[in-house]
Amino acid sequence: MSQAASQVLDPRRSFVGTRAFYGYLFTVPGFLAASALILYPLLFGLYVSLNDWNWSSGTGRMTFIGLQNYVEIAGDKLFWNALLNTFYFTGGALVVEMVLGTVCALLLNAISTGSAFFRTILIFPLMISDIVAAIMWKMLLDPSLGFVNYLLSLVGIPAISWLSDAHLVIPALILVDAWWQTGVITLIILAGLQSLPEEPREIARVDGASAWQIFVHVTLPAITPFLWTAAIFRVIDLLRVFAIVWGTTGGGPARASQVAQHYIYAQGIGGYLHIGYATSLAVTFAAFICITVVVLLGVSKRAEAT
Amino acid sequence: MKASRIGIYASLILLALLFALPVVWLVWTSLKLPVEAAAIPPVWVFTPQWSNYVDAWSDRGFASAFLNTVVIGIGTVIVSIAFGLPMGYGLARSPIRGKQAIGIGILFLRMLPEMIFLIPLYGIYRSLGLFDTWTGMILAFQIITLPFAVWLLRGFVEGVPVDIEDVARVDGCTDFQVLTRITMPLILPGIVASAMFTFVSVWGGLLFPLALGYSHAETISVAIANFRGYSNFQWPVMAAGAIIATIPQILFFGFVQRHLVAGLTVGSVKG
Repeated sequence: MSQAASQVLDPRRSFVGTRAFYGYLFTVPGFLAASALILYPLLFGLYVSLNDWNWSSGTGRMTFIGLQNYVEIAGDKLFWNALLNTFYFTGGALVVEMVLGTVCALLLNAISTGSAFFRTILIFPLMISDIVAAIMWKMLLDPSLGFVNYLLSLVGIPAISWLSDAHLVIPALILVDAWWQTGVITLIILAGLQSLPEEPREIARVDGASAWQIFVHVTLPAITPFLWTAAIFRVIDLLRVFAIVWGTTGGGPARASQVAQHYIYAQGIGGYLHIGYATSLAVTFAAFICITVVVLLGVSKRAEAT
Repeated sequence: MKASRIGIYASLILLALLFALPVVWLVWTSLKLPVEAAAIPPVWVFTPQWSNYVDAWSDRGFASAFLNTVVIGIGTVIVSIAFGLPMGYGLARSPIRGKQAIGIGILFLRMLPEMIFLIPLYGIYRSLGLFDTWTGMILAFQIITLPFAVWLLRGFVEGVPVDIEDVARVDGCTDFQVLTRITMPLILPGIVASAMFTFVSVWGGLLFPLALGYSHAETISVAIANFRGYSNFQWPVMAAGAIIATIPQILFFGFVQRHLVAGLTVGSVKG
């Protein structure tokens, strides 16, 4: 309607000065900037991944080698180890954070007095950057001097080597990430809960449903879209994990906690300077993330349709 | 009813302790002597050593990293808002094709691991002389912040009723005047929030400066990362440095609290 109005009011009736014209005028500079700064490095990166480009020996000459980098990835056991660690970490952290975040949101939604106070404390770790959280937990989880093991010793649990035991290191990092990022889930689910109408729950309560029954049959189905949104955003960020792991364990012990982005970093900038090969690893890893997210989006669409 | 209320508060207090205790421990450690910080059982009574903060600030490269981050952060905000505001407005208001596609594009960008950009950029920057420069860092950060700013600002513009703009248009304003005189003042809080989100992503970002900087463009996150190799006896300085690095973020989050959920779900196609 407003569009029609502006066309009637426009005496020239030409493209110049129409709303679409201004729309493009406003959008084009941003689009050009995005093309130069985002699209170009991305496309150049795809080309780089088909080259041998090594900065460790001199100035780095590019030699086109086709798909040879990708063939090499297939036999790169260290990459598959890192990928497996990444998915293990992501799956574990997702489950812990979803459950804990939903519990936090339900509790916060159930109270009125002090809700702002508790909300601030429960999401406080979000204000801390990943590397600060990592350095902090490296100290807290120190096997001999750490505060966590001191607290456990009070209840008679002997010292645990959180970050230097190959079997414990990823579960420990999952807990660190849960401390750091559960607030994301809490905030999204809380926003969902606050947007729900009160009546259905009220009716169920009058009908004599227990709190648990109301949660499972009324509240949970209503917040499912929010749960999916929260889960998908967390998976995207969890798969790309770097600082939380690199800052605490450096990938150790013996690569037991090395994650994909860390391995790619080490192959590329952080060590060997195999720019071509590392870029092909990044492209491969990106494909894994995209497939995971597409599958999750598909499952969420199907779940919501039924 | 009464009992469940007590249960809810008891659970909340327990959770609050779990989330807050590590931070309390950090503040507490930042004020101790090295010997006290590394003592088991912990020393509960001690004289606060405020000098730890001075020591952290004068730690090798810390102060210059702090300054670098402020400059790079402000530069990134200016570029992102300058390009993002008109684009966000155009996407929100004009009959342009492919708006949905841009939303999906932003979500897609978020899915890409940073390394897919950083490793080729390292090669480009080395060749162009942008490696370890403020300019290079500001341009590189746009990969994260520009789509983010566009999407947030688009949301804020959509919150302004079209009717207000139409009235101005009937009164003879061009679309450009509508943006500068009507819409921009109305969404100023949104612009400030977007600027803050942009600044915080620079402030907390580790991978970009780690990959594309060395000393001239070293940011605060890299300075904190350099603490990794420190021994137990440097815990108080590490803790003090971590707190100095976190204070600006706490201030920014105070401002953007209302928009946190929108900021967390940028690129959400459902929204």
